[in-house]
Amino acid sequence: MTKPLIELSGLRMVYESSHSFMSMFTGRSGPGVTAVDGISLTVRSGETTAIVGESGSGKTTTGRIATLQERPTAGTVRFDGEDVTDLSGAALKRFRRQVQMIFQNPYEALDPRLTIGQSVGEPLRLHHLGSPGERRAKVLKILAEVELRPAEAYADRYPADLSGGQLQRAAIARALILEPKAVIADEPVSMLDVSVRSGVMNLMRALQSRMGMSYLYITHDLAVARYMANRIAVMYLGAIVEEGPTEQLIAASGHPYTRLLISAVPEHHQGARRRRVTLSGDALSETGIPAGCRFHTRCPMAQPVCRSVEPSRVSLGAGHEAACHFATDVARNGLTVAA
Amino acid sequence: MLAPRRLLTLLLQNPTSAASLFLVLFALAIAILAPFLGLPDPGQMAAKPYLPPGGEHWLGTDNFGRDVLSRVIWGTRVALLVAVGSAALSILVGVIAGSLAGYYGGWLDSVLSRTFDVFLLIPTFFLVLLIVALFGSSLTLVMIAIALTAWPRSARIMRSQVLSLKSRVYVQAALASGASSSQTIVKHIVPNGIGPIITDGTILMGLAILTEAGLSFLGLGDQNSVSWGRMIFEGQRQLRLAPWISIAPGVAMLILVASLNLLGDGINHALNPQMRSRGGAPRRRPTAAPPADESPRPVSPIIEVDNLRLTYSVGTRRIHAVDGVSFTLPRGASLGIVGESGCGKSSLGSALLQTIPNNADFTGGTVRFDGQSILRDGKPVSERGRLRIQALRWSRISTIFQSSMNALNPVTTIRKQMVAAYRLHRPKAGDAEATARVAEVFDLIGIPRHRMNAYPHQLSGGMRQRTMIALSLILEPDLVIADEPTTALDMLIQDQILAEIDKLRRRLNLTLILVSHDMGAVAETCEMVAVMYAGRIVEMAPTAVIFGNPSHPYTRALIDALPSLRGPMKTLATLPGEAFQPTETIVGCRFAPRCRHATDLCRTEAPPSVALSSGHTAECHYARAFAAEPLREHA
Repeated sequence: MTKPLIELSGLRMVYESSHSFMSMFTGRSGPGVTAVDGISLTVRSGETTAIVGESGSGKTTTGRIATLQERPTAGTVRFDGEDVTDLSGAALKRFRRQVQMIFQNPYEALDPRLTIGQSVGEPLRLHHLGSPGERRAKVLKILAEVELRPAEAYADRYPADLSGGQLQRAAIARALILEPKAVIADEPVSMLDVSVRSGVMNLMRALQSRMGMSYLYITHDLAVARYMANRIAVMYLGAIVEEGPTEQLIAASGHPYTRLLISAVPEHHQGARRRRVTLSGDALSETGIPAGCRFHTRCPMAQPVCRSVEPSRVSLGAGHEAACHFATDVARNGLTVAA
Repeated sequence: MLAPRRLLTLLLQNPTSAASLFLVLFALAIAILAPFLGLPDPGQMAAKPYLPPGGEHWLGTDNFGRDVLSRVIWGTRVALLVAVGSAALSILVGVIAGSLAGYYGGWLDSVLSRTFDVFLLIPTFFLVLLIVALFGSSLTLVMIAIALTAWPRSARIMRSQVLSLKSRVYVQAALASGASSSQTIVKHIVPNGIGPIITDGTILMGLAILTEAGLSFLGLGDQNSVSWGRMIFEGQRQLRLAPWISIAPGVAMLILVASLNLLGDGINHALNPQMRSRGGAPRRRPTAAPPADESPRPVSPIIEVDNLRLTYSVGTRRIHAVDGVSFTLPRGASLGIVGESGCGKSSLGSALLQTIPNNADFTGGTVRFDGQSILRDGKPVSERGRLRIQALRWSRISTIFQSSMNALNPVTTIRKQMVAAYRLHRPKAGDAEATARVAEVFDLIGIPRHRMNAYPHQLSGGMRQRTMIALSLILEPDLVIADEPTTALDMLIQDQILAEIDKLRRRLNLTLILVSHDMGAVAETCEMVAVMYAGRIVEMAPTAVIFGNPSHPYTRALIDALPSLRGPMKTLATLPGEAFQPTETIVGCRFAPRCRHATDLCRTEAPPSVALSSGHTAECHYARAFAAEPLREHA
């Protein structure tokens, strides 16, 4: 096992509800929204860890904290063994060279006024690396790496001339030009067409095996996570409810929520009509995190204990953990609605 | 923002903008060239006073014998100087203050925003008067005074621009790769946000000219400069005797201010894509009479589509979004239409309902619903002055969209909206009957009855979308067209709603057309699947056949590109190139440029529709060969 590169521990992120003018009338100025509620996660060097969750689960906020675009309310971010949570100034700028970001929306990823070459080369300019000629050479090299060939032609085009898939490749080139140790990718293919998605995913995998960086891959799609990641962390309402090696987590999930997610992924292969599990309750709570187990309001196997006691992580072996009172049982027998 | 060259092209396309641009440039030219035009000194009282226009003095002379033309031209200099100076000053201050307020937010934003508000409350002219009265009246002071009242305009525009720009991905990306806030503001935010401020700047310039003229008219302008306002002020006493003295500067001012405002409008129009008429005006489309040989009511098929064509006009381009689609569905069937964005699947849905945008046209095709012709040779069928589709929409053919859940009126309860909608189509129904019907459909889709009395905001997105499904079913339609009905929802909810739609279809014997980009969702909800590519259905088959024995290379590529959760791990196939929109007549197979198996035949000759087995057709020259060869082993 390789050494830890990004270590998040005990992260909490609470957004204060703003005391707006309107709150004088509505009388609402609650205690704030907890987006991330005490998560710990390790991304190992050269590996891909996926965070899977629905919208509102806090997965994007976690990614933004890992890149220090936001500072957590509590908890620490360690990078390469060093506590970087409160970095600022020159040290922060050095950190930014090591950790890059790929975003969801390729159509807004590049400044429409700059050529592809200018945007891709911007990080080099910001960090004062190389002469203009060297920078240009580097831009052309990385454009060729992301399969935007001929690189010279793409470098001088504007974003409006490129398709979504090509834009996302250019955005990947910009993220990789500083040769970062870690890349946080937030739903990088979800806005692309199916036929283009697999190309971008394959490209990310090929670049990883060539350049050796780690990915923190944020997605709502378990099948995509399976394709990309060595390890998967499943988030629900701000917490990681299950984490483990990809195949084990999918084959022997220990948390009912993971089981439900898996059962919600439609199967397109012939003959494999899956058994759907009907879910009680509705979308993620807007009123806050329930007491006890945060999933008990929607869980088909919830017991009285789930309503009052927050489950701790249960180890299921080989670095596989689930935060459920009945994790061992769920991992072995699947979803069984106890009588 | 547009490139300057493109902006200029757009401006010149519009006669008003072109004329105003020309006038502004002309004014600028004579203002700059005034000393070199060989004009008499505007202050020189050499000629006879009150000379009418003509002869040596084209615009006559004033009460001191000064040349009016010369004074108007020198006045242009002052007017433009004031205009440019005060606009530049207010934009500079406004952009800085607005950027800071928008970017940093928090208390800084509160303080600055309140400051903008306070300055906007001060009557402009009063403030300018006060400053000039207190500090004297040089041109510089006049400019500062005008800028002082005008800057909050620029600041407020900039603030809102920054608020929307700062969440843009490229701004986030610049910050994430190590750019400082100030670098990001200067490099990315201001250049992309300044468009509307420049537009507003032309209007500010007009205002500045008028304000300066007003001050000069009151005798508070710069005493040493030749200003239009002063000329009007001096001329008004001689209005009857020598009207040209005040009319000439008045007309000059009118032309310049009007040109500036029109230019501002023109730039705004060119910069704002929504104002460039994309959709076009609503227009009357030709209609057709029902065919004479129509038989009254056959039972099945419920819908027959033959060679349907829909073309969009975008600028000078014509995009054939639906390029000859044919299919037939028996009552109670479910058809999934899958394809990439831009393949025409949503256009097909709206074409069936005849709810097409104003820039779209039917260019051919016939649609029959329940044996009745609703589209004949590209013309909507009308009977007794009414389009047939109008009577069918919602009552017999209903729709669910991705954004349906946002279509509920937020100020009344769900029940009231649904009752009102029901009674619109069933005018004889009383309130009680309508409410009972609403309750029934709520039961049908599994929402507790008491939630009827909720307001839309009290329901989650999934609940609202289910409510809209209920609404689409309330009149017991025969056909439901669902266009990405669950795409905006979370996975668990999506799965649930699709399961419900499927259950309802079976129970009510509805026919369902599900338009989706999600092959998996379609696979589990529909019995038949049609794969669309560039405006045509390239393959159609029962679901199990589409996934088990796909016979069009495009279908095969799509399936091979999907990551699987349950199958063994394999490297995903990739498809070269990008989907395209059919704009011109296509030679050969439309998929050939991206097809690994394309031959010369594919590049020259359009493939026929090959019937492979019961209900399975594929538009490929080699469909039979593909059908015989199993899909890449999932092992």
